Amino acid sequence: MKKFGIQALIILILGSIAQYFLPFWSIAVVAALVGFFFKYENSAASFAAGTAAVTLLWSSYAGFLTSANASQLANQIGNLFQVGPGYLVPATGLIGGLLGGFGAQTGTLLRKIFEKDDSVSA
Amino acid sequence: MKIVKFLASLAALLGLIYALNMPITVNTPLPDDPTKFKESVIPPIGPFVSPFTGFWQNAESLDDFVPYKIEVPDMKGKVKISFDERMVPHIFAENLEDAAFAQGYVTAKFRLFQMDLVSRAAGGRLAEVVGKDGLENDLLKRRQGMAYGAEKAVASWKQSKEATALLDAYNAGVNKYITDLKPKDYPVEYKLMGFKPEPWNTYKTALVKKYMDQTLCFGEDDLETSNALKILGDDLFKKLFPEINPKQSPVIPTGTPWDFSPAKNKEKPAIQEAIGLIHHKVYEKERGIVGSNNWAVGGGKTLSGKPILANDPHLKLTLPSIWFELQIHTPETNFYGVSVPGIPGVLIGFNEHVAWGETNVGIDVMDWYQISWTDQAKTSYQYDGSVKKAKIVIDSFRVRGQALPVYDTVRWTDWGPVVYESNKSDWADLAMHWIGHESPNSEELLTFVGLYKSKNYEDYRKALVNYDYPAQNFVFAEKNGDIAITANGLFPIKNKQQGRMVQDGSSSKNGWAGYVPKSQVPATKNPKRGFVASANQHSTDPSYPFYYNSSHFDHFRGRYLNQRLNEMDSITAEDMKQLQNDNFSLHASEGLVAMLKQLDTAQLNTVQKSVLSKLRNWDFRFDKDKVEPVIFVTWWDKYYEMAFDEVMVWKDSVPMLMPEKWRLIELTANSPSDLIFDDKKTPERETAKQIATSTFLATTKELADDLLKPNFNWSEFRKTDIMHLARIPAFSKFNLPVGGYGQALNAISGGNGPSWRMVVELGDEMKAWGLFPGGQSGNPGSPFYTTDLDKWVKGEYNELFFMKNAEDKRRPTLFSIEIN
Repeated sequence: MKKFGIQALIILILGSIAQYFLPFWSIAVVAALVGFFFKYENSAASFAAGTAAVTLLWSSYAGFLTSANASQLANQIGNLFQVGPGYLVPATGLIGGLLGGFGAQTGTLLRKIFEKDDSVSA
Repeated sequence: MKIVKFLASLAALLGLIYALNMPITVNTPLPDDPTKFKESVIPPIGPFVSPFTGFWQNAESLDDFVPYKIEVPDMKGKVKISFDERMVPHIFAENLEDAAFAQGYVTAKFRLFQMDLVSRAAGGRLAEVVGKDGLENDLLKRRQGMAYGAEKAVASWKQSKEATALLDAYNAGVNKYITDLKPKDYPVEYKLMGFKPEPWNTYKTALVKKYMDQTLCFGEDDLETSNALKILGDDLFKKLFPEINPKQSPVIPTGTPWDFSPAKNKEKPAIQEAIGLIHHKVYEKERGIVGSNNWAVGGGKTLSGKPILANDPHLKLTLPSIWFELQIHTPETNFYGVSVPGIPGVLIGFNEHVAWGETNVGIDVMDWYQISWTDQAKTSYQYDGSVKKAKIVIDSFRVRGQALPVYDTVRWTDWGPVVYESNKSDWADLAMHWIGHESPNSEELLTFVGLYKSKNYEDYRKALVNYDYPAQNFVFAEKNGDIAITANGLFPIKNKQQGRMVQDGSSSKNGWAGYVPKSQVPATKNPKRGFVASANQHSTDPSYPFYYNSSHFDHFRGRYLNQRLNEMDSITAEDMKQLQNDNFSLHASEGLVAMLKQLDTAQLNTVQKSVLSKLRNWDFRFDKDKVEPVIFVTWWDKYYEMAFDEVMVWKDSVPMLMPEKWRLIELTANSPSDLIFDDKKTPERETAKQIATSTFLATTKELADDLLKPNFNWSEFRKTDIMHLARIPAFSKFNLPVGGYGQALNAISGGNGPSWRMVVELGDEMKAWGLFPGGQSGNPGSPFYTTDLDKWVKGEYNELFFMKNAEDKRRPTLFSIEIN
């Protein structure tokens, strides 16, 4: 559990920095790197950590931006795509979460290739 | 096994990224016809929803406005820009060039997408970014020679050192902003539509200017008028389309002497017969929607004894607005007003000495010529007895989503481009001759520099000499008392009736005989009546030595305005604001009275009588919560269509001129038994009485259900929407609760109306009020997107903060930018 927390925290910090300079998919690369460097028992745990971290990051940043804006733009964008504006923050979190999850899982699975001990598999 | 798992996960990840990075095309059913589908493109989801790069970044809050500094090595001096609570920039610069840089910078900061879109629309480059939906616009704009006209303007402006310096500084300001702009900060429309801003240049400014020209001096009905004469014959044509309205109250007071000997007209052949029926489908025109009011009252009529000036230009209302408000302060001058994003300077405003404003003149400066080709391939045409080669220009258009460009061939004659072209042997090819293709005065943009440096009447007149088109009624007031108005611009010298209809293009004699000298344009200073005013009506009474025409002259607002200003005394700024918001219409008062006189009340039942009594008690005001305007307009339309059935019957098959409203009122009042009132579909011979009565009955029937609804009223019926520039509904405002009417001073009609309302009380301390229906920011996610919309709807005003200097602390500064 502790590892889960640390991994998530590192994704949060490095991901924020990377995305400030790089395109949106850089979050997946960060998650993959973190997944690769953290020794996980299985890739599902890594997936969960990556998903949780990026969901949290994307939804809370989007939530922060939209609350400062009184949801003015979110309402318009929701209207434009015919999505309830209330779903936009969770949907943003979910999309980010998938990137983080698959990123972290891919990193972990890459590490597994180089690991000698094959007693525990994903 | 491990490798397979890894590869599977990697593939899933890459697939996800790929999917999130692709634009998605979706087909949505059209609201008015669900069996048809509109293709629309959803932006790539990943970059669009990422809170680090996507639309969330455009969700602006007040906290985002943190003062900052930028370093620009080329600046001559320092600039400070203070933004007031409504986000109006107040630019403090050491010279006008630095101020132009700052104006470019802040305009780009708030209106980049608008500048880009407008210049693309005018230059025929929409399809590059919106795909095939933009192609129709692009083909037409290029065919109409917008790009050509803009190139000519650029070449001319280059001749002026002063204009070039200002344009270069403005471009540099816009480009500084664009260069510093990170993709995450692109206006949200770029993110939605998936393209990015290009560097700005003088050509783009010229295209924005062409866009204005097209809005303001593109009006004509030559094809429609030709057909009306051909179809109706001389007598009926003359009856329905007289050029002089005896009731007209022109801009220059009737009886004003012309103290010049007019420039001589060249000998001309009499005007041609109609050239034959013209079948071309006329391109969409902004017909009848453009209008404006301006006036200045002298100290003799005001409470304070100082002049008051007012101006409200009526244009298509959009979000963001056509206008961007700003103040510029230099050691030389200090002025405040509204600018058009993309063009440096202020077009309507005031300084510490004078105030000025504009309305459109509307005199016809576009004529059409029938081309007689001498060969099948249409490469040469007859001209003055010889054969002349046309210039063949092949335009290419990139279309987003299509691999190959689209080509269009445009034939240019000496008259101008052949806009209407057909392969049918009995369809005439028509060339456009438009003032907007003429090389403008190299110093035309300096007109406004001259105005905001003006200290008196002489400065004002001197400034106007540089101005060519679109012709405007420049109203003027000076704090010590002078008021003036000048219908200013290039007016072609024409023979009587010339240019009302399509002319034969094989003779140069049918061209314009030069232009009215600027010293002979209609103008008046300090007229006896104590005020000057214009509302797009005729510039002069018929005694003016030069012939001019337009089927777009106003016949109601101008007369009412002159009448009201004549009556008013001890005028205050408050009175002027009320006058701008006045919903009274002479169209209703004169039209309804004439129609009611014809109505046979004996045929009415009790319900119909109650409708009649509503109309009889109406004050002719198009207020938002009244039902009478709905009844009147519905009845009027039916009455008009039935009276002019001999014209209406052609409307859908060929271009056809429709008689003006005032003429129907005049015929109803003066000759109700005229043959024109006969309904051709019946064997009986109707008069105004029968058709007024039958259309009234039809009106009460049509509105019977609506009139029972408690919320039914003028604003509900008419619907006023302000659309986003790219027509994105989510960024638009619908169904605003406003009154007003196209033929009332408060000329709100559908999506058009007062795009800026300004009242200036002149004096040692200038006091001014103003607003436009929108806000300073073009960002739909900004708190400044629709700042003043509610106030505009209610007819309220902002007192404008005319700062005395950079340290003026009478009102708070929200934010500031320093340029070193």
